[in-house]
Amino acid sequence: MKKILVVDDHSDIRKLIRITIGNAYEVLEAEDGVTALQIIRHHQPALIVLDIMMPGEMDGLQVLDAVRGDAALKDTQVIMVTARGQAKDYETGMSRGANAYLIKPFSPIQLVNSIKELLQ
Amino acid sequence: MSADELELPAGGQTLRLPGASRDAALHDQLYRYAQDMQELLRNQNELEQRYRALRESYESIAEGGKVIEGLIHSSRDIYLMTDRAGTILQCNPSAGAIAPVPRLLGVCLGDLLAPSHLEGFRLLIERLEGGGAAPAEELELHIRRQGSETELLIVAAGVMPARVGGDLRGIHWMLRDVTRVREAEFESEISSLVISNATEGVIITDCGGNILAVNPAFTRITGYSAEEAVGRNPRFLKSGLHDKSFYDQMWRAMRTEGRWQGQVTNRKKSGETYVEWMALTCAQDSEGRVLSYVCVFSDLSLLVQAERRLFHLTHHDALTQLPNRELLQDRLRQMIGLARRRGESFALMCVDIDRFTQINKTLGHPVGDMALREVASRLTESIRTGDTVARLGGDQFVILAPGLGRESDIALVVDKIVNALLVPMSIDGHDFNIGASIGCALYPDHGEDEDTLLRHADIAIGQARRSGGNAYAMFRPAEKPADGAVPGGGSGE
Repeated sequence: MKKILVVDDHSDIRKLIRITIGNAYEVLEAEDGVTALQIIRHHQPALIVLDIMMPGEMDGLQVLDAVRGDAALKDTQVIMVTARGQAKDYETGMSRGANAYLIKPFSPIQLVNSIKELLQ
Repeated sequence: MSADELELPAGGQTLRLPGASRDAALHDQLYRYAQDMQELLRNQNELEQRYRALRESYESIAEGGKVIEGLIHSSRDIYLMTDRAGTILQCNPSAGAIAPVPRLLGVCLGDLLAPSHLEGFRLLIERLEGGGAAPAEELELHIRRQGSETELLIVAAGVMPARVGGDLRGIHWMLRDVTRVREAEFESEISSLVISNATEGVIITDCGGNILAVNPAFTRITGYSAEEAVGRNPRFLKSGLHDKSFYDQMWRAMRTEGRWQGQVTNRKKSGETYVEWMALTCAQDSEGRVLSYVCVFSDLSLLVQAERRLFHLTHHDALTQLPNRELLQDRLRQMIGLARRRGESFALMCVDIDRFTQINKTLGHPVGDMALREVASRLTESIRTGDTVARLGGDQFVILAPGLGRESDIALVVDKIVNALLVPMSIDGHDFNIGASIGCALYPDHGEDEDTLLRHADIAIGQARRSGGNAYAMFRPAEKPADGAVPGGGSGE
């Protein structure tokens, strides 16, 4: 079972995503960027569902930079999740190496389809 | 837009209160989930409907498949499924007509064919292999039955290629047994060949006796063309020489035995009658109903003519054309039989020309022969209708006169004969007279069989001759000359 890391500071949202894809993937969770990076390095998930706007030392973009900057993690797929209207974040994220992008509130169907597509 | 979301204008910035913001985000996300759920349910409904429709159509296809399978299994036609090279993979029970089914599987259909049909089979396979359509017309194949070299199963083959994406994967064959049909066609061809070339005339009629067909020999013999004969009843050929009982007997035989044969005299178109040997048979169905009559006849005219000629030659004297000894004995036998049955009597008279050897010697044999012809014709003229004159040879003649019993009646006849012979002859410049000695025997008084009557008449002649010739004598029983004695006897003129 492939590992998917869900990074979001909102525990209910993480729970929703786990319910959505938990049957098909092993779901890991992180509530901030620092934790996320630790888990990524330790578990090397195949895909990360990464919320850009997070409080704390590292936001999503920084986590993305860290992943893309690590040769060992170059195959990791990243789905970027941004709040509605954050067009700047989208452009930045895509230019920094995100593989797909979802707008909150995201469509669970779209989420599942994106994951399927990227992990094919 | 969520109702919980608080938007406070603060220098153009949207501010969110931390707690309210978290709840609002979750609320929005849940709402989004519900929307997706709704969409999924709608999709599911649609899928379920499609699934039901698919399943229904699949069921009807499966049912159709079962029907086809059942039809193939119970078909009297042979079904074969082969691979693209013709190797038999599957067949129905009717294929047992070729060979036991287990032995057929794995065998190439081409190997079962008669050599003459191999080429057609190969061409068909090539054509299907090349993407060509199955031929519209049925292909006739000769299959060797049970591997036999001689016993053939003739089939009309319907062919359907099985293709997947345009590639030939196999061939379906429906083979209809037409062996019987071909054999029947062959037989009927042979029959019509035989009928049209036969020297015998053939008439085929329907059950009502109307002519359906005649052959060329019919036309040759009767002179009627097929067009003139077809549709008519053969009674137009009747000569009128047979009475009703003849035809009654013919039809009685047809009813009881289904066949009749015999000699029939019919009439040609020219009006001339001819004798034929006719064999009449009828074709019946399984319930004995007459479907058709077949009449085969051969012209006996030439045969009958030849027979008559031969009979005449062997039963008549070449010189005088009178019946000869053989025919005389035949007539005498008949006359005895008739007279015996009727209790009648008749006279047998032997006539010898007096001194005939003298005529031959002095005037020559040609004159003698002409004299004998003259005698024959005078005798023939002087007798009554129903009497017979025959020449036994030399100058010996015999007359049979039925119904004569009394000597006075005989004397009248004899007088007539003697007077006829007394007329002077003039032959080839020679004039001369002849006379005759006549001896007579009566049935039954002087004999009851041919030999006795002839012998006794001959004895009577001796008596007549002794009286000086040109005389008549009746046989007298007392004259029996077993001892050579020559007693006197009665004499006439």
